[in-house]
Amino acid sequence: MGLEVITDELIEKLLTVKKTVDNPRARRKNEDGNERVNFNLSDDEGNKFVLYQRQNTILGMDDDFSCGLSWVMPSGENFTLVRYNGPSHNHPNKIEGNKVGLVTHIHKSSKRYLEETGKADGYAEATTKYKTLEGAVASLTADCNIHRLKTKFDQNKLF
Amino acid sequence: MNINIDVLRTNLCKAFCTEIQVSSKNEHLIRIETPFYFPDGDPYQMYLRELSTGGLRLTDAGHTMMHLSYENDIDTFRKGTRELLLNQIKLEMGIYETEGEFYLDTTSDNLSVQIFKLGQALTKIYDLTFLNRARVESTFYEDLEERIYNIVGKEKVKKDYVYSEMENADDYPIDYFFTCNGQPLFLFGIPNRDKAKLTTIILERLLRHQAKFESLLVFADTENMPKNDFKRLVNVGGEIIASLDAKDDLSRKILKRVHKNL
Repeated sequence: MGLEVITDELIEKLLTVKKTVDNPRARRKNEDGNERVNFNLSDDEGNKFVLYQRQNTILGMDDDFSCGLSWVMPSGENFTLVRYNGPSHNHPNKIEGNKVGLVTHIHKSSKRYLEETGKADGYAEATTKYKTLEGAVASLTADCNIHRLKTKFDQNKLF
Repeated sequence: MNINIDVLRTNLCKAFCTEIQVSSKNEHLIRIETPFYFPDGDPYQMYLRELSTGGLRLTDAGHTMMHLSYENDIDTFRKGTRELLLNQIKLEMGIYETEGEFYLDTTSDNLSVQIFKLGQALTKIYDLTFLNRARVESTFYEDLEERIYNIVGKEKVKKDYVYSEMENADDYPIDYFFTCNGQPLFLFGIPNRDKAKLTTIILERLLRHQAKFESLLVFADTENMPKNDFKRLVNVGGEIIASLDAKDDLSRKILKRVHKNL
């Protein structure tokens, strides 16, 4: 079963279904210039997911982070459903022809992007939901109905 | 030719200039925006860092490996075939790596060429993801099928055969069934240890039900097969083929059992 099964309805269903973290104490690895951890998740229908967290640890790259939720397809490949990124880069939306700017932004997969660009998660929108990786994980966990993972939202700071 | 080369040159230079943007990121790094993108649309990240020696380091600041790790197990880039290919790319492209950061050292005069070189290198590195396990296994089964059909023809082989003379036979599928003069030939493709374990179970069950057959086990790569899984399988199995590279041996072992004119 490959990418031909992907529809917007399936993406929405996989995002919103209740998911539970199977390994909340997964070990963090710090190598190759980044700190990373993968959590395995499952839902009541037996679907498997991966929630990944990545933080670039190289000097000057604090703003380079990402956390994402992938669905583990029956073929064994991972299909990214959403990705919450830091402001380290200016992401362009190929189809719309605009750029989000150097801000935190959320990629969300769609059938349209899969068909027209070959990559489902090519569309992103700017967000103010978080400032750090920790805040991004908290937002993603809340948005995607993920349970059994301790998270902490970023404090809102007044400037 | 009707093209005005001078106008073309001016327009191209202007276009290239627009595509490359330079700005200060922080006290440590200068950001270089380029027209290079990952398939998901995120741009390659390139930065300049001043060296204490006075030169410049053009670097991806570790972003590429981090980006690859979103959908791939990058530990596999540090062993076996992928490690060899990665090292080859670095050598060919003249780039270096320290703890996940790809870079090359340059001067401001040489920077434009080096930006394209680093961009090309990062693209080649990204393409190593096409060797991820799920894709490689899928390719193995496709290649195996093609080899078999080239040897005996599609009409002489049954794919996903079920030996119906035992209970729950559907739970014990046989990849390929060949009709032979004597006992039939059952062929199994073994891309990984999970399939090795499953095939061991299937063969043991067939033997317990006193099924009459011979088997041929075709491995994707015996070198990466855990020793015990390999031993258990070859003990219950028949002949083996160590990899699909052994085309002649595969052909010989099938044709000695299966007559083309059968």
